[in-house]
Amino acid sequence: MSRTAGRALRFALGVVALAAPLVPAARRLAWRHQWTADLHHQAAFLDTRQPGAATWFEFVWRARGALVHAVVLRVRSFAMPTFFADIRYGARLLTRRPGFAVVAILLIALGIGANGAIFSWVENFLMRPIPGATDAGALASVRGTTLTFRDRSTSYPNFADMRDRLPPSVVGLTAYRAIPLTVRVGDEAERAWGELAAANIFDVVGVRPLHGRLLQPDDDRAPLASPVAVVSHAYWLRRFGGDPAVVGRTVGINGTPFTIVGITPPAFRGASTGLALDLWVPMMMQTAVYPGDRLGARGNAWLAVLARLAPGVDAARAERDLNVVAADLAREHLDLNADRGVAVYALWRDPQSAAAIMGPVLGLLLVVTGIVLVIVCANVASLLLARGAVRRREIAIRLAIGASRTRIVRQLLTESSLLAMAGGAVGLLASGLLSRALYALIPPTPLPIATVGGYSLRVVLVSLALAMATTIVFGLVPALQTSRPALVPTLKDGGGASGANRRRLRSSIVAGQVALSVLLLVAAGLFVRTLQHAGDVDPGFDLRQGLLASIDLLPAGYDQTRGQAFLGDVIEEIQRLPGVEAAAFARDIPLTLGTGGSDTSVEVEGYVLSDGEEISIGYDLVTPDLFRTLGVPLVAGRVLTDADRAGAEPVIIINRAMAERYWPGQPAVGRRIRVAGWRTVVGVVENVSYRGLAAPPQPYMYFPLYDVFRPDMTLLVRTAGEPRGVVDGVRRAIRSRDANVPVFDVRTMAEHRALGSLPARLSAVMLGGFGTVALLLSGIGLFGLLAHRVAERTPEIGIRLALGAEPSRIVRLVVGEGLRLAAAGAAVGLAGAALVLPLASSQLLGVSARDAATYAVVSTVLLAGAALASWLPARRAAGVDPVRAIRHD
Amino acid sequence: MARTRGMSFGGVAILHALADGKRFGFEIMDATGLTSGTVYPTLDRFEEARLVRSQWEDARIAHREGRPPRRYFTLTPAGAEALSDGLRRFKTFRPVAVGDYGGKAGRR
Repeated sequence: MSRTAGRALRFALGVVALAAPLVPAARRLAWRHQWTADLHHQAAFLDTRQPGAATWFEFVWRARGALVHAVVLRVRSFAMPTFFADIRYGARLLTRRPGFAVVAILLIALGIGANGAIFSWVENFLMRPIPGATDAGALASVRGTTLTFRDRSTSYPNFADMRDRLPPSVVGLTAYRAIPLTVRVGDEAERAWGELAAANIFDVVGVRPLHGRLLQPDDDRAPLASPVAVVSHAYWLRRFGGDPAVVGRTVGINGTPFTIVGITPPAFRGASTGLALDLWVPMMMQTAVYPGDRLGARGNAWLAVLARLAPGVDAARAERDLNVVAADLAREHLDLNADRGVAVYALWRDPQSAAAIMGPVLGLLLVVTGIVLVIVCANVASLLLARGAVRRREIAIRLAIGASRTRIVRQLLTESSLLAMAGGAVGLLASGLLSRALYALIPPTPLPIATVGGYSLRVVLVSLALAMATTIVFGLVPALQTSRPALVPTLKDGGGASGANRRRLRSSIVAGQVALSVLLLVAAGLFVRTLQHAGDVDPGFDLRQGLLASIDLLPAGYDQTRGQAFLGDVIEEIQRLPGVEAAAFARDIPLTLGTGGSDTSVEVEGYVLSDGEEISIGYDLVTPDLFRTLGVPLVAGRVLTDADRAGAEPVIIINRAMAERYWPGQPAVGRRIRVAGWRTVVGVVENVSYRGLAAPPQPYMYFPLYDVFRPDMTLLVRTAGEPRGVVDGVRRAIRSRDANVPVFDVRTMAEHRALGSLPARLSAVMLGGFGTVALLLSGIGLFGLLAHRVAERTPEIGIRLALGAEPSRIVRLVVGEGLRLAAAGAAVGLAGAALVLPLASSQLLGVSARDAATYAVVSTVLLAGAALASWLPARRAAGVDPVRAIRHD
Repeated sequence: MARTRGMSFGGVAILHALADGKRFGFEIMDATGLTSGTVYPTLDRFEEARLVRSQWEDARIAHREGRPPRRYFTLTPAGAEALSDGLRRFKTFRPVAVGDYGGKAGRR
C-alpha cells in the first residue's frame, strides 16, 4: 500500500473511531467491524489504478458515510420508542389548548415567513445574480475605466481584441447588451426583451440547451451572416406553448427574419442581472436589431462584458492581467483608448448590476426581518415561560414519580419542535406569498424585472435552519428552567424560589422587544419622511399629469430623414388631441431608476483642463417642445425650435449646473462645446434630476433630435386632465401614420416617478409593516406579562382592596408597572436608533437619521400602545372580588 | 409485501446490485453510484424488513488475505420478490436473474 493510500485509510479509520460513540452500544462492535473491513477493501484498490477505482479523495469523502450511518443508527435506536410517544403526547397537549398553539405557530410563521421572503430576494439579486450559470462564483463583470470612472461600458472592437488576447487567468470573455425587440410570429408582433450577445455567451456562462442548440462561435463569423435566435424557456412556453417543433421556425425580429435554433433551460434568464430576458441573438446581427453601426466603432462603448476566471483566480488578479491587455490596446489606439483600462468585479459588487441598486435596501431589510425574528422568538419564549409556570405542578409530579430529567427536557423540546416545524411549514407558505406580494410594490416598468418564483433549495434550508434554531432558543431555556423546580414547595403550593428569576427574565424579554420595536418604528418613520420628501423635492420640472410611451422606428425601417419627418408629424397630431397641452420626444427621461442614460466626452471652449481631468457629460436628444412639456424653466437664451435641424447651425442647450461649472460668473449662451464637431450653446435651462432626487445636480446637455437622430424614443405628453384619457388618441395618432411602428411601455408620469423611488418605497413599506407587527407583538408580550403578573398577585390585590384601596389605585399600580417597563425599553431603543440608523443615512432624503420629530412621534405611539396593553389587565385587577381572591388557594 | 410497494429507485438499485452478486457496502456503492450515507442505513433497514440478511465472512479467509472479515449481505426470498416488483416499475435496470433466491443467494 502506498503512503497516500495508507494515510487516507488512517484518516478514514479515524472518522470511524470518532463516529463510533454515536452508535448504540449494542451494535457498536459490529458496526465498527463492518466499516473497518469495507474501508480496508476500498483502500486496497487505491493503488491499483484499475478503471473505476476511487481516488484517495473520493475514498476519504466516502468515509464520511460512517458518520451518517452512525447518526442514523443513533437516532433510530434511541428515539423510536419514546419519540412517537413524545409527539403524541405533545400534540395532544397542544390541541387541548389550541389558542396557545395557534398563536405560537402563527408567531413563528411570521418570523420565518418574513425572513424566507427577504432571503429569496437576496438570493435573486445578490447571491445568484445569473441563475442557471455553471460555477457562477468564477464569473466576474468587466467594466471599462477612465481616469475618473470605473463603471463604463465597452466597445465591440475593444471587447473583441481583449477576447482574442486573453491572459491565462481568464478562461473566457463574452459581451452582451439587453435590448428591446419587436418579435413577429405569424401576423402577431409583440414586444420582447433580448440580449444581443457575443456567440460564446452560453459557453462562458456555462449553459446547455434544453432543445436544439445555443449560439456557437460560427454565429459570430461575419456581420449579418447568421440570423439565428435562441429563446428562453419562459418565452418558449408563453409564446409558443412549449412546442418543441419551434426549433427551426422563422420569426421576424425587428423586421428581419431569424431562425430559432434552440431553447435555454428554465433556470437561465440571461446575463443581465435582475432581468428576465426572452431571446438571444448573435452580436454579428447588431445592425439588424439595434440602432447604429457599432461593431466597428471603437469609440462607441455600449456593451457589458462578462469574464469566466480560471480556477483559483480572484477579481483583483484578473483585473491586473486584463489591464496588461488594455494597456496594449491603449498604445495601439491612442486616439480612442488613451487612459482606458478595465475594472473586474465579482458579480454582486458590479456597480451597474441589479445588486448595486437593490443591495443596500435588501441589507437593511435582512436586518429588519432578523430583528422581527428575534422579537418573535422572545414572544414565543415568553409564552412558553408562562406556560411552563402553569405546568410546573404537572412536571413536578412526573419527576416525583420517577421520570428522569432528560426525559422531561426531551418531552418539552419535542413540543417546541412540533411548534417550530408547524410554524416553519406555515412560514414557508407565507414566504412564497409574501415574496410574490412584494413585487406588487414594483410599479410598471419598461424593464423585464426578474421575479422570484417558487422556492429555492437554499430558502427551504434557511427556513428550516431558522425553525430549528428557534426551537432550541425558545425550547431549551424554559425546558431547563421548568424541569428544575424545588420539588417540595412546588407540590405544596405551586409557587417556588425560581419565580423571581423567571419574572425578571420575562420582564427583560418584554423590555427588549419594546426596544427593538422602537428601533424598527423609528427607521420606518424616517423612510416614510423620505417618501414624503420625494414628493416635495423639486426635480427641476413640474410635469405631474403626463403620459409616457416608447416607440421604436428601427423595425419599420426608418432612416434619419424619414424618421425625423415621422416624429414631427406624430407630435403635431398628438398636440391637436383634446386634453393634450404639449408633447415631445426624448431619449432619456428624468427620474429613471438605475444607471441608464448616456455620457459622451466633450471639449469645452475656453476651459482649461486640470491635470488628468476629462469631461464626460450626460445628454439627451429631444424635440423642441420637451422643455414646455416637462415644464423646465429657461434660465438664459432660448429653447430649441423646429429650425434647429440638420443643415442649420449646430446648436445645443445645457443645464445650469454645466453653465456654472465651466463658465462660472459668465454668460454661457454663445459659447461653444465640441462633440463630434463644434456646437453653439443657445440656451441654459434649470437643472433636472435625471438619476434620482438625492443625487446632486450634474452637468447635462440637450441635442436637437432633428439634428442628431435616434430611432428608439420616448414620447412625453403633458395632459390637462387624467393622462390615461389620451392613451387611445396617442396610439391612433401613431398607428394612422404607420401601423408597423410598435408603441410600448405606456405609463403615466406618476407611475414612472414611483419607479424612481422604489428603493425608498420598499424600505418604507417593509419597515412600516414590520415595525407595526413588532409593536403589536411587544404589546401582546406586555399584555401577557402583566396579565400573568396580575393572576399571580390576585391574593395580594384582593387583600389591598379588602383593606380599602381604591380600584383606581390598583389600575395605576398595574399600568405604572407596564409603562415603566415600556419606557425603559423605549429609552434603550431610541438610543440604539440614534447609534445605528446614521449608517443608513445615504438612503434618506431630506431627513436626518436623528430626526427629533420622528423619535418623539414613535415614543408617543409606543407609550400609548403600552398604556393600552397594560390597561386591560389593570382593569381585571381592579375588578377582583376581595373575598374570592383571598380564598384563592 | 406492503413495504416494498413504494420502494425508491435507490432501494431497488441496492437490491439489484445484491442480485447481481455484489456483497458488501462499498461494492454496492460502486455498482449503484449511491453515497455511503444512503447505502449503509438502507441495508440496515432492509435487514430489519427481512429483505436481506447479513453474515460475517469466514474469519479464516479474511485472515489469510490479511484484512478484517467483511459483513456480506444477501437477498432473502422476500427481497427477491421486492426486487422483481421494483424491476417492473423501473425499467432502466439491466436484466438480472432474480428467480432462485432460496437463501443461498448471491455467490457467483
